Amino acid sequence: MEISLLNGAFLGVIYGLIAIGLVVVYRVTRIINFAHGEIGMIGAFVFADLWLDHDLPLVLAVGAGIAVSALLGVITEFVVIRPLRGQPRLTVMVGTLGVSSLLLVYAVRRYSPRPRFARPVIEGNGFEIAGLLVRPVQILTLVVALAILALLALVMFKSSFGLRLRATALDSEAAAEVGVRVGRVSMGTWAIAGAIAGLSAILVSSQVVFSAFFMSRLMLRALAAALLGGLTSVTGAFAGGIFLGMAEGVIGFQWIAPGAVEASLAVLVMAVLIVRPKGLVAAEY
Amino acid sequence: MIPKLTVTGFTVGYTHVPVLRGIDLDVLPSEVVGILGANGAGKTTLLRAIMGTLPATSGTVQVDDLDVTSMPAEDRARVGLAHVPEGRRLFSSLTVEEHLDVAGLINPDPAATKDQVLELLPKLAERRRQKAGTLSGGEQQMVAIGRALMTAPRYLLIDELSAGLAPVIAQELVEALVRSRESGTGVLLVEQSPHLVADAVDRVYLLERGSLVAEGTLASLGGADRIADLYLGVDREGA
Amino acid sequence: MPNSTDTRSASFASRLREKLRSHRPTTKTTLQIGLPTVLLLLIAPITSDVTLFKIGLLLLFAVAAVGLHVLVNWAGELSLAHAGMVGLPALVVAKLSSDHNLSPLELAPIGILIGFALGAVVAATARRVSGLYVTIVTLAAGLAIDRFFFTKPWLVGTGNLKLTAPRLAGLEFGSIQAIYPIIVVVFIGSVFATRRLLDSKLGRALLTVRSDPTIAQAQGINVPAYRAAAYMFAGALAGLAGGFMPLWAQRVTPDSFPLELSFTYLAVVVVAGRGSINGVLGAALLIEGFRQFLSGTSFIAAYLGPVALIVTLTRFPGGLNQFGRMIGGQLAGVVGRFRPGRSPGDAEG
Repeated sequence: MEISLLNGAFLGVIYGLIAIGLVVVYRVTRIINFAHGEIGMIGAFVFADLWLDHDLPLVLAVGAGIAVSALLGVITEFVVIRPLRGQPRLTVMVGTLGVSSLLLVYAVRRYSPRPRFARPVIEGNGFEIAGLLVRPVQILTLVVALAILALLALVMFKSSFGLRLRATALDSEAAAEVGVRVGRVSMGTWAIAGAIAGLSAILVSSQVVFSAFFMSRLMLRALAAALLGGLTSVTGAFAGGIFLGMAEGVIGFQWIAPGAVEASLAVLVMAVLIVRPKGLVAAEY
Repeated sequence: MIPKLTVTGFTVGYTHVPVLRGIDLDVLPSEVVGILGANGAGKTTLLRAIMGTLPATSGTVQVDDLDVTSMPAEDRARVGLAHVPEGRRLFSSLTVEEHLDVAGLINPDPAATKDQVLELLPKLAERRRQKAGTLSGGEQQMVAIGRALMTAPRYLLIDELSAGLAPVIAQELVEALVRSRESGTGVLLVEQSPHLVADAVDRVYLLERGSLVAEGTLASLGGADRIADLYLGVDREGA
Repeated sequence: MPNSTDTRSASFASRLREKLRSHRPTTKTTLQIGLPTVLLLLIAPITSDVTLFKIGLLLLFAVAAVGLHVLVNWAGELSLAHAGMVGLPALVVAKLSSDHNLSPLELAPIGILIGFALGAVVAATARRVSGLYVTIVTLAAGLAIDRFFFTKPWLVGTGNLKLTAPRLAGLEFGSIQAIYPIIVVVFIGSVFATRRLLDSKLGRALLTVRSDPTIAQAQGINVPAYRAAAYMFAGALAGLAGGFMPLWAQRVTPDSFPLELSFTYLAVVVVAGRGSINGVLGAALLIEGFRQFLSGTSFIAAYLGPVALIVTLTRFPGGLNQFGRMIGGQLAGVVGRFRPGRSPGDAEG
């Protein structure tokens, strides 16, 4: 039981990490970015290509992967979000859906749909916590997630970009009227979210089956995590992810029937949202 | 050429039913100009179109000798237009100080302007760290004015300063504005009631159903009472 | 909630029946129904079985998409459970057919009932939330259907289902060429029934509910009932498409209805945009048609679907229907006497 809770918590770190990126976009653009997972996935593939196949140093490969994802975020903003500003949110979200299938088609054609080998960015024997063998990459994922949260807080509340961003998120028209270049804020936000997507994907790639679909498969849980956190709070989203992961651990432990975990998680999310339609955590800016 | 804010041949709205038709107006630096009109006359639309948050179908806006017609609002703010919008549109979870700071980002000397603004609206200094959403209506209006002034505007567009405020507080704000003109800012003040702005304005335009129908000093138009009766009668617009 | 909804949807259905009965066929409608039917039937002899199979799948896809179109573009609601609403009826019909040696053709109507019931369930869960949360709640509902039912051996069997040869009233439908006309009838029937429905008072009421629920309520429209009815209608059409799936495909597995399919359906109706059903048919062809007929064949074809989606949306955020109205308007200008086709969504632009 404790083991499944703890194991679930580490799974939850992954969901939470991806959910953070969803929230970053949601706060400024007010939509769920369905291409978030695929934007990260391409970055992870570029990273794996450079590191494993081209023997580039780790740091350079990670940097290149993150840069590619950030660039894809910017391109998405420019090609889909900007032309659809002012349109119904559903239309914009379907636009990101288009980006996601475009990136999937690219990945499948370029790298084939089959799973690839993924090497963790740090290796080692790991160590035991309460009877569970924790691998170093799991700890690293947790540390990175916490670091991203801290960094985001710093940028949001201590930099002028953060000030512009928060103003734009609250009322973009009023922000424009005091000279905030709203388009640049939006683009910067998508770059940050893209970079987070890339970094998450690189860390996650060695913890799941690494195929073109690996991030798409995690999207639903990340989305649920973001929602449990109230969609506008990055810390809420991260906490929501861990909550979801732990619930998954316990359910999986109790009930081994195929599909039971997903079905019960879906019902759990529905129940939470029906009882607390605004999520578990109040919004925070 | 005398520097001024010039609006020429302004038409806004759908092609078949324009909300505003052929508006021509100007505001000189340090001048306080009123636009009086009943509900639904198009006052809010006019200010938003000058600021650039609503597109104009035709006509031009010039800030001094610079044509800003094709600029988005964020660029108009940078060349010296500021807007206190209808409903204030504050950033609800930002503090008072953050409102001033974000607007000050395009100001070459934000610290000095901030001192002036806080001197003009001392209440804001007291509420510095409070979130805008928790302020009273009058305080919120002060934040909206302070935020607009922080961009160091050449011309300030104010939409219904008095909306939702007690007359005493509205009067206080008008007086603060009149003092702000000393720095050379021209003010375009939209109001429904001529009495409130009677002491503040140098000139007024009367806006009726999307067109400017008269222009002059309040006295030359027959005084506040007569204007209120003739042009701003409650039922005239049916709105 | 179940009570009010049931009586309401009963009246929904009876009004639909009444509408269809009171309708006297005119030359125009005969042409409108007859021409596409004849064209679709004429395709059969001149195409290979493989192509015909894909056309049939596309027609059934379009039937389900039309249901979602009514829900999204007319009622202003949202559902990401649509794939489950097609899949579950399909699997149940297939299972019953294979277990009890029944013809899938006779069982197909059961699909409608299951879809209808699923619609009621999703409507009930979507009731308490609004906006983006509807997306998630319906997505979770879809996921629950997918992961709960689609993994159960008693429903999906251990491997492929073996289906009995379809027959109806003593007739055997042995070949794909023989079954095809049935699919065409299902397609044309549901498209025109829906079209008549949307042209009626019901359609206008749905539009009122979408644009302003308060006004709708004031006009005596039972808003929650209409919302629920829209979900059930969408479910029924999805169930209809699903119910005929075993007949057409001969083999259905849960893999035929992945969760992503719900997103595809949603993309189709958003690309269609508010207004007429024609937009849905165009969007289905654009997105699902490209995928089925072209994908994997060449570099360009693989990217065509997603690129078409993005380009259409960014150029015409109102969807193909907006594009159609624009073209219609221009044609009307060029050919003075040209009368643009009726598209019910025109009124609210």
